[in-house]
Amino acid sequence: MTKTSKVVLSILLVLVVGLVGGYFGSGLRGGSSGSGSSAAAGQGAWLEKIRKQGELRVGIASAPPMTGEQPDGTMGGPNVLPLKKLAEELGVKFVPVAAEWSKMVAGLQAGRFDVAAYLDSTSERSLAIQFTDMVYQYEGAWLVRADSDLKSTDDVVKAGKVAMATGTSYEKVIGDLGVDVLGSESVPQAVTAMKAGRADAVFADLPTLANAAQQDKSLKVVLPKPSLYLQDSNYGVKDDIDQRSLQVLNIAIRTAQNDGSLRTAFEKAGVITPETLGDLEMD
Amino acid sequence: MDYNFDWSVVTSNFPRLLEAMGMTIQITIIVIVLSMALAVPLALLRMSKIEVVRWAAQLYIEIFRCTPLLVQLFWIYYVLPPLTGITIPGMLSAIIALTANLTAFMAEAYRSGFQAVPEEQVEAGEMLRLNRWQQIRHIIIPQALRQQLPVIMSLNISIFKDTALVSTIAVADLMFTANKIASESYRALEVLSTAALMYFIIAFPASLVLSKIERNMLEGNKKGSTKKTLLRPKLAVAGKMGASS
Repeated sequence: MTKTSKVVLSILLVLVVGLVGGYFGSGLRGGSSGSGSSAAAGQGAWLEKIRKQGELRVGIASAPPMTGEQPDGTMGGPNVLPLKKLAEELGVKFVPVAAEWSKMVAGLQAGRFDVAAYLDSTSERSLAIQFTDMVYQYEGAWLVRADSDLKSTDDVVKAGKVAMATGTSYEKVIGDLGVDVLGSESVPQAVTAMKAGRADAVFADLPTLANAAQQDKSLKVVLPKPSLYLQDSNYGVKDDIDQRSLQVLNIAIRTAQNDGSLRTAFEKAGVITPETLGDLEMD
Repeated sequence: MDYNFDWSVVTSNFPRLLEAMGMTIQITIIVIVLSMALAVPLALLRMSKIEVVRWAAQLYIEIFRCTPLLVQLFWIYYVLPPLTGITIPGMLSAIIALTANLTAFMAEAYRSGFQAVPEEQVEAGEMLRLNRWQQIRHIIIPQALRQQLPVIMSLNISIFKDTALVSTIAVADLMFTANKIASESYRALEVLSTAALMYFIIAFPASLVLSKIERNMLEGNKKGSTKKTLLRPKLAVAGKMGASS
């Protein structure tokens, strides 16, 4: 080994020892920053951060008509109406950020966006992030080909292969039925996979599947009876959000629900409920 | 086949696809230019006589050659922000990841080219009292690049196709846009076939140029070394510079 290499390696060794020593040394002394930051966190720190950055970034994955690409090419949908109103009130820009369902939590943790829209609250996710109050409650449903003769959950389970978006809250529930699960990045892709013959049915939230059936008459919706899956859909936020900011988000949601603007937005976007399914349902 | 084609979804979204193709080409050009520049010093570091420098360069190259590009993209997009507290925008993350990856491969291509330059030519440069930088600039790099041109072009064509991976971090390139249109219109066959055709239309001419270059090099090798090389004019310049110093 040349003399230069020995010198460089010695310097690197000293630096590494110094860094490691400093890291463990600060750990032994104990962190006193926790109490300081929790005091600051109780003061609306998240809201302050949004105001400072001048924009409210919302992660949106594709689940039309609730969330998806809008006519102007940006991501949006009726589900994010409370967030748009909140951005207006804060005087910041509403910035949609395209995301995939399986990366919503990772995107929040990485700071890619401030809020994750139309995100189901599950206990596994709640260990990593926080959730707002419920924005919408949906029922899970099957989407099948109209000529398939699949009319119930038992028929689908017998048929054997189900497509669905990975990273969703109902993955485990459907997996536990004993069917073969074909994962995809989004619900529309799962529908495409089924149409290509790769699966017998798709499981997802009723509004998204009803939208697919409206666009393609060869598809029908099967509502599980009794209901297989009922889920609260919320907004996801980072786990260190302060209580005051979370309260403000919840009030924004509650206001949009109470004044009817959220219901109107859902109706305008054509969000289908079990009562309005009509001839989209399999006979 | 009883599939009902509906090409109107492609015609109505063609401007969006073209715009997205523009983004793909833009990312490709930026990545290629940056990588071709950064790979030269990396290749030279890889050939350094100082072991530590050589090991560091080799470590960089091995990390980026031995991990999948998709993992590198996700790491820079999702893992780097919580680690460093710095959130880099999506497009910049994509450019950094692709550039870092291509630079590693390009550096190895350059290195093999540099090492293929006959030692006698470098010695001739020393005899003409060229310093190390002049030897690299006038003797080694021109010949090495010419030698490695097929490999370099092949890498560049590959990176053009690999830009499709940036769609996974929500960068609005052709793949991302095509995927979105296909998802929301449920017309994957028409839209994705069109996207594949658009990639092909760009990459195929480059591939033809590459084949032509390879054929010319083969013919040049068959005819022997009587053809002019790049070295002669450069040696003439170097000779004048040596005489005037």
